[in-house]
Amino acid sequence: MASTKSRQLERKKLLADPVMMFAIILVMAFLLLFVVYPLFTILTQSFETDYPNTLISQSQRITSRVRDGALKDSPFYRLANNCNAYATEFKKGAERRDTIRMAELGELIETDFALIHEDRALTEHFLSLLNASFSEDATPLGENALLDIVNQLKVAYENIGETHFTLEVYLSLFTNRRFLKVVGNTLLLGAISGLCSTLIGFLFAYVDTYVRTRMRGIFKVISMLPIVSPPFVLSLSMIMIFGRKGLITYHLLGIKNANIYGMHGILIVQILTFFPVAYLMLKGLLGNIDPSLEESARNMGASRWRVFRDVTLPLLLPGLGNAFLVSFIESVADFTNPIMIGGDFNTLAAYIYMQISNFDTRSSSGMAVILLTISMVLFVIMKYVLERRSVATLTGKASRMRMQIEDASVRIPTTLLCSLVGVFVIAMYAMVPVGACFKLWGKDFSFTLRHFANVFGRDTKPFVDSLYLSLTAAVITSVLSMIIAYLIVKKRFLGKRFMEFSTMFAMAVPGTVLGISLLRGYITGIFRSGFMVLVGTSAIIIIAFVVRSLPIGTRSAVAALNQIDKSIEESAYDLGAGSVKVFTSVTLPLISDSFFSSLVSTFARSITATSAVIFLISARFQLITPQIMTVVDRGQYSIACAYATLMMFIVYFAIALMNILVNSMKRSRRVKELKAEA
Amino acid sequence: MKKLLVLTLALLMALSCFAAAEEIDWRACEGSELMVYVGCDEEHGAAVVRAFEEKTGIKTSYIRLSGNDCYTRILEERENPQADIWYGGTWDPYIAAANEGLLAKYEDSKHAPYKSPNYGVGEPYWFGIYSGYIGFICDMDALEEAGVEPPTCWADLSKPEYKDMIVMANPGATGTGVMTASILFQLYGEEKALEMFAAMDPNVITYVKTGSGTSAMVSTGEAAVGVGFLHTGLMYIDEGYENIELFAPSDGTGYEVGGTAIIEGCKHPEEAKLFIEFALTPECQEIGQTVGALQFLTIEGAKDPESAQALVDMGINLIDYDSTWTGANKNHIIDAWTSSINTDKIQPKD
Repeated sequence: MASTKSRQLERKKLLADPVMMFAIILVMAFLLLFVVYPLFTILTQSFETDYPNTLISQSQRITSRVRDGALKDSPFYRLANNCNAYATEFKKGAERRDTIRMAELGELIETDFALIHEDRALTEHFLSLLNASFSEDATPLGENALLDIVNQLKVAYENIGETHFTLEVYLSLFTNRRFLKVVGNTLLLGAISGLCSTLIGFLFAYVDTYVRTRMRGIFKVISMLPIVSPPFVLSLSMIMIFGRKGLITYHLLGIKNANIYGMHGILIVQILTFFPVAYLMLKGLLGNIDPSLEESARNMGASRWRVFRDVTLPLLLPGLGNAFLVSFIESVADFTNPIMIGGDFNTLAAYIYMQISNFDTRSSSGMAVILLTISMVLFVIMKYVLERRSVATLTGKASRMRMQIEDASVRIPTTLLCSLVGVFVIAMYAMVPVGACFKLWGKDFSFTLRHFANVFGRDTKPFVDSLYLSLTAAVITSVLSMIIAYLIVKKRFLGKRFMEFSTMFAMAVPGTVLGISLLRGYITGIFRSGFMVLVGTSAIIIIAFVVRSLPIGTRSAVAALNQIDKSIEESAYDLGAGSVKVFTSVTLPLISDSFFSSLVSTFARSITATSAVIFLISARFQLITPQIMTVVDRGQYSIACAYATLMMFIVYFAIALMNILVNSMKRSRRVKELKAEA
Repeated sequence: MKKLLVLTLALLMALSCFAAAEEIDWRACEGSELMVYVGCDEEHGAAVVRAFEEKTGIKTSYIRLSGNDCYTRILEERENPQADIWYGGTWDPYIAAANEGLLAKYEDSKHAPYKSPNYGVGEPYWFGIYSGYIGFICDMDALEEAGVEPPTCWADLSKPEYKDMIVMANPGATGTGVMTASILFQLYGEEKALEMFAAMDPNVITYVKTGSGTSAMVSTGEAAVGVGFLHTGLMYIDEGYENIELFAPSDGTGYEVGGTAIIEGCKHPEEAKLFIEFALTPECQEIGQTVGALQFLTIEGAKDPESAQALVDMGINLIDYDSTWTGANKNHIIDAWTSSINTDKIQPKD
């Protein structure tokens, strides 16, 4: 009773606070406009009928079979041809379509419908002629199939201007075996990649926290590398090191037909890219386990293995599951690696991109919705099943330092394994700057800097645009995520759960899906109104960047805010400060670290983003990553390496700069504090 | 005397102005702007755009996308076109776009006649700007190392000695792939062609997802034989890959025509028309060869690149390739091809 009352009171206080209300409305509007609405667009699109396209695709089922001149006089062929023309004219839009021609075509179409309906013999005659002319065709057209086509044409013709609810997109996708195979591939790849990344990540985290080792420097480098580099550099080095003319496979070992194209290639690259993330996640968890739990087990005589199996592992299980799902989601969303070294092995994210021109809009929306559903299921399991079970936090923070294992039987094999993997990863990344200095890949391995010159000699617009857009996105994301975190942690209001979910959910939206849905949502303005036509502007690219990075910024800010005791802020309120004053003078300084880290991570994520923006770049705003993809496609690996190297430097430089800034700010604050104390 | 001279001069100038007005007024839209989707190589597109900007004073921006991406973009943006011109890339997507009503009609183009009527098949919706042949791009070093001769006809590709050596464009993803499949369909009939693809399958390392990817993989040594456009192979030879040699199948091959078009409903139609006029001058067409685009040119008076002469000397056996049939049956070709190369025989969609 008391709690409801205090909740009501709090809500009333909030309503009286215009700044906070404004912040809530602003955030809600952002999430509704740029997360919910675009996804909603593709969702509705995939459940709608598209009669003009049905007319075109169904009529082509007839016309594509007719090669024989005599068949062209048949009412079926005529009907199909006219339906095709009618739909094409209709699709030109209300202003541009030729209504006179449409009326003429309409008359012809109706006559033929009547003719076919009245005279059954026409159907048989047409079919016998058609199938005779097509003896080699694997799938002869049956009578029912033909009548079904005519029927569909009729429905589509009569309803052309309308849209109805239909499941036909999903029915046709789920009966298309090629598509099902792609879905299967995606899940299989995600599961294996997630499992292996988690295992390797765990090994690294375990060695880092439990074993006495001098390798922490390497660990740090390894966890840094995937952050600063674009997502496809490992595919690039994979080709250069292990390809058919690879430095190791061909030049060192003399293997002549090494084949990295396919599932195994993507797997290696994905595991190497994702395991550092798992490592960082698990490292945090392991650090939180109170050593006394394990030590007491040891004291009672349990072997080291037994302690690991019965104490450490159960504590860590939800964390391992979490790491597995995060890698799984990343693998499902991965777009560039399957494109580059997937060979014939297609995954959903890449398949949508490649097939988008072979399907109608609704089918590609449907595929995007299926991809989104996969990620969403994984995300919901992670967020609502695993995070609730997390037991490691029950023990709170570790009470003291852990005694690190010095036993050689544990230390030597684990350290060895880690160094092997570590050296391998670093070598893969090192290949990028090295590859940029070869004169002509595969032919002439002498040293040159001309590829860097080539990169600068080209249009510098992609560099400038990339930097400008990523920086803008970084600032917006950081501010927005601080506000969201503050609202989620400190305030109570209607729609709070929605705000939290939709912010975090953006993490699970694959880049391809985000790109397509923003494009479709804003191509002719919001709800096709002509208002907010964002496609072609810089805003849409910035929005894509912000939505992608918001969950990360918000999560770190929430964690930071949860550490701050409520009484600190309450005392400020008691002294008469308003909510804005409290936020800017008390809360913000306390969470400034997470503000800066979000600034850096958004910048890094944005400048290396590929799949989300590949549909959004325009002649006015270009980015580096699609540029690199183009160069790779032409086989100019050295130029691609030069681009990637420069990019890695820019991001690394930005991170280093930010760290120096943050540190100097901290130091000056401490100096002030010290002076004040004195 | 002096007056007379001035008068004649003035008259001459006036006349020359008049004569110029008869032709195209290149500076008619000075200061305006134009957006281009470039579907061919970036260097080529960039050079043409710069030249156009210089000649007309129209501020021109471009973005390079693959041929299929250009088509997808224009399709997605049909209600609010973002670009005015589509420049370069093979004809299949142009044919598809014209069928879809995505391209604007431009009937009164003043360009010089085409070298062959085949280049004008798309008019008035799209215009042929270059042409190239499909053939075999071979890494002679790799073939020598393996002790095999380069392939000379389509049937050669299924010989067991080429095991794991060939790359071909994937018809499911690229126009080049569809065209390769269609050539064999048209040469040997569907049934025989599918048998040939099935026999070739064990020799293929991968079916690449972009048309230029085939020659790119041969240049980097990832494959020994690429089935793709020969002129991209020429580009790599010019770049320094002397080990690459080109072969045309003796039993016949098809050609492509690269296109350019005005996008229906675009925001700068007058500027776009000027661009089309410019793209069909010998002056513009000859820009390609200075930046590694070595296709045959389409307009009378435009000089073909020297290295392309090598292709002519080879005596290529061209079939009467039916692009309209390919366009109308694209999905059928893809389905039939896919089911022939996959061991688990995926059912076609129909």
